[in-house]
Amino acid sequence: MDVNRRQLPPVLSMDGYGCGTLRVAADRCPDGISLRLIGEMDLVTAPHLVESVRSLRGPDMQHVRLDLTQLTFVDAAGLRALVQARMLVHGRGGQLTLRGARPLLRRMLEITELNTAFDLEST
Amino acid sequence: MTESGVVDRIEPQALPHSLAAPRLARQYLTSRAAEWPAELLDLVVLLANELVTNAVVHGRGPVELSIGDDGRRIRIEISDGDPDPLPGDAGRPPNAQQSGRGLLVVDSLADRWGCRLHRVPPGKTVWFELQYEMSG
Repeated sequence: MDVNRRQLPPVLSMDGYGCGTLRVAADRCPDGISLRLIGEMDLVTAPHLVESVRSLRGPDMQHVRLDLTQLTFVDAAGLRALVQARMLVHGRGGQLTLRGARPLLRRMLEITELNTAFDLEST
Repeated sequence: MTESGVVDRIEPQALPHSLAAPRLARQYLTSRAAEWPAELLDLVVLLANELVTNAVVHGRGPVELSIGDDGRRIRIEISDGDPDPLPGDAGRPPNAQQSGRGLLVVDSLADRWGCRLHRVPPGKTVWFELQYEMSG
């Protein structure tokens, strides 16, 4: 395999397509925090979720609920961010649940065998 | 109505070899395909997004997207300037890495897909097809 010699992408979101399409809105709950993902989660915007989760303080990490109701698009890079978010929360002894996942996202989670890794709240 | 079996091809659309390309491809497809059923459009946009993302992250420019639609099936082709085959090759994607997940999604949700390499100009074309739901 010669994957290592392949060039990295030459542009790193310096062209006005930064985090503009994904907004993360936080709502405190008695047992943790709810993060509403608003917009589209792709290769460019997905790190915004990971950074948002990483910046949470201890008590908020107890239970992180990702509300996906207003997420209009998510791809494989977005799935990766969900996995990373889950690892961050679990690493601090917390629990992460997904709420409002649309049918296509549920199918993607099944295809990639990630559905068993996530707690999916029914809506 | 187009003649059956003849894919009505729309002029290829050039995309930048940058991280902006997946979003531009999604916007382009959404604007071009307002008449497609919503669920089909969601699938087309997702699968094209995965192939454009791969072309930008692993491939080389120039990146192009073309649409074929014969009223029975939609065919999307993504070309880039990298003549090396896909990692794992078409049909048998690994599922451990991120690029593998993208191809795994394409492999699972497309009715057909594949990859062909070309020497002149050097590059490859990855394509997928989705059937319209047949009513009755």
